[in-house]
Amino acid sequence: MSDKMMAAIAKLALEGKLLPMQGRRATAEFARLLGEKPRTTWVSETQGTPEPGTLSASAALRRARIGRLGGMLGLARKNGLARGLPEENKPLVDRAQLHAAYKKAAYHAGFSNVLIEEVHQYMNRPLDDLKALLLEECRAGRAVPSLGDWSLSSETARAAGIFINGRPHLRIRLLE
Amino acid sequence: MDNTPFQNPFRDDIVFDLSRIEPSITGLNNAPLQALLSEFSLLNHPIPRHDAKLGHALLVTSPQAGYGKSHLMGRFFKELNGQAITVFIRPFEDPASCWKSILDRIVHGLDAPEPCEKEGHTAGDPSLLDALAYAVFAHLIADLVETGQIPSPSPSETARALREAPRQSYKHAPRAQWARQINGLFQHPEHPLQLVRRLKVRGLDLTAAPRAWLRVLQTYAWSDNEALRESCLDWLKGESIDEDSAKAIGIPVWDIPRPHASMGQVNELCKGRVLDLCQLAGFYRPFIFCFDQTENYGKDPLLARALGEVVQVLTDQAYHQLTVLTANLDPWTKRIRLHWEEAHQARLGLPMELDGLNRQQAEELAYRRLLGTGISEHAVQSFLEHQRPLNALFGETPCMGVRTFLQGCQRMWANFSALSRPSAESFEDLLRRYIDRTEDRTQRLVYDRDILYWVVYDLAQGLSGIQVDRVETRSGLFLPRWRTATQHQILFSFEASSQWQRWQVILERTRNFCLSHPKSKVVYLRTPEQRPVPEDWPNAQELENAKHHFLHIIELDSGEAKEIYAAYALYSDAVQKNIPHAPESVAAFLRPRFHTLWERVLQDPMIAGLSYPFRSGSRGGKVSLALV
Repeated sequence: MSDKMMAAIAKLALEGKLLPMQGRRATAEFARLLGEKPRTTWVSETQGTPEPGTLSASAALRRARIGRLGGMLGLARKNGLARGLPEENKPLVDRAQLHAAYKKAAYHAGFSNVLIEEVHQYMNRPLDDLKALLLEECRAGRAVPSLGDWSLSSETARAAGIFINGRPHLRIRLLE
Repeated sequence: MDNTPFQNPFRDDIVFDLSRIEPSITGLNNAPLQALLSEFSLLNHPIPRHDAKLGHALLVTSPQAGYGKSHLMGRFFKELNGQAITVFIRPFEDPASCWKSILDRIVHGLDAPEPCEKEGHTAGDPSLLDALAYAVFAHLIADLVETGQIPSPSPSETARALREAPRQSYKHAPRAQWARQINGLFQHPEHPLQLVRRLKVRGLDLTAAPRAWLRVLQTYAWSDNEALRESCLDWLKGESIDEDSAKAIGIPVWDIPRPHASMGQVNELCKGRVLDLCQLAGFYRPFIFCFDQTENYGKDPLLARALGEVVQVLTDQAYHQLTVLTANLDPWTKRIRLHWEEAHQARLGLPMELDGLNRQQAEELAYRRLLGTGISEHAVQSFLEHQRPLNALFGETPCMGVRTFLQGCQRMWANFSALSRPSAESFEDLLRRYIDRTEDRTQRLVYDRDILYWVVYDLAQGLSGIQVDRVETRSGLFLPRWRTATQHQILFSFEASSQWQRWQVILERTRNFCLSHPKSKVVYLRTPEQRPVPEDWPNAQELENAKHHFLHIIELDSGEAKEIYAAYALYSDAVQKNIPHAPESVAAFLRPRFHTLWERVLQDPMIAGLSYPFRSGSRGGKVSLALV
């Protein structure tokens, strides 16, 4: 099931059908693949669209997964659907890496609510991967996001924000 | 839906007054509260205590505005009712007069009765300063009894009774009897000196003469002469008092603040007073100094730095006090801490971070708000069933700031109660709300140089045709200055005193300044509760003449003062992001409302013919002039 699902996702991504999809449509498509009813909470935030023709197949798949499908894959992983994925398709940030980076950031800042940007500085991983995992952690009740102060934040801090309830949250606190 | 469309139970999302806070939510931010209480307990040695000092000031942070910093401080103050002297330190506006501002807030708090949940106070209620004076004398007299310098048939019992007395409510102390005894003590040839010696024996190292302190406390607490009590308050605030009053009180000549003292000297004197009061607090209760609204210090690196210096001095030198700062993380790290030296930062303990509401706590808050406004239970259930605020808001996060939750519920309630849209509260309505709050708290309407400073410096920025900047005086004070298109300049200075010697110095200085700076005048704003400058002093006529040329005293009426103070509170909340409006937008709304004040500033003397509104203008830079 998981291989079939991933193959279908990859096909959609490679055909360029996945990225332009928004909200409910993406949810419906994904639900159709899984043979389930659509659940809006599966849809994560929309990220940038890759430039057509400039990406390899695996890069397009990674973009797709990191971006709009990040949340869905998180759910898929949680449900055991993504078990047995080929090595290159496994999530690029795991919780252990996240916690290690968070601890360093919190120690350096002196506060437990740290800028996501600061956590990212301690990880040699794509920002979008980190954001996808943080969204997952928030939904699972293992991380607490907070707004921070948009007006006092740099462009990089803003870019690292995750959208919760439609608002960009720039800070995160991981619960032990 | 019942008849509640105009009442949004979730509207109130700002703490206006620390003494009137909403009941706390089960478990929310109990840890930081306990940490604050535990730190305070380190000060709570048996009275009298003379060496209780904490190693750090405390910092309470929240990751965004609206997590309940002020609410936490309100809970802390409430828990300490009857155990501490709690002082809320409003942000100071001029780094060169920071201690003066702080001391004004302390003395203002001391000159009021103990805050209590019951509204209002009776006129005869003793103030905290009365109680402090009572405690100081009770313990010193007990010392003299114990050492046999005051005879007693049973010295140890008398001393114990005296030491126990301050713990009882001062309200019930036989005031007249005490007044007689204390006055008698000062008539005695040896007792005054013995009292002073006891202070030294107890290790108090006061910056002002101990004798002056004792006489000021005695006069304030037991004199029926209101004018002398006022002079005592002026002395406590580091303001000059006339020699006759000083003599009547018993203050040595060298301890009378000089009317010609520069602001730098006054500031230093005020720092000494703060440190002295903290030492004397060992006889009574420790101080809690709360520096809330710290975002305001972030607008100027000099202010931020001055706050760091204040924290350092309080931590290093002040006994019997706990200093607490509250801050939102981003302004704190990016605008304030950035300007602190390592030594300043080292004075802060580990930060206490506030938590957001979890789902269960949010539910408790929602129910409490809904039921607390008299809405029927049916309507409450209907709202919760149809809007499902908890599901909607907590789907993606386990916790959120209290204000974020309330604002989410506010929008949902507006939809539910068939209001077209949750129309944002207009500036006009907001200001009215703030004015109403200010009217509720008349004791706030006392002279506050920082608020007056704000109105003529911060708020006036952007008045067309006026360049607003600050002038650095010789004593390092930064005074707001307006420059008009016609090259006139208006300097703003601030004076709390009504004492004629002080006004004589002001007269001389403003005259000298305006002689060396033609087309200039100096403006003083006065609030309604300030006593008028006496008219029966030698140079009274000269002052009157000066008012027609270069000295402009603007006496605000209570309506104007209320509006200015409410405007300041509104602006301050915008700076702290307590309201969803940028400070610039709030200032732009407020500026034209004060056109009468702007017109008055520009009126005679000197700038006749120039009226508001003006032509184009821009913000000026900092300049340096030789004044005072």
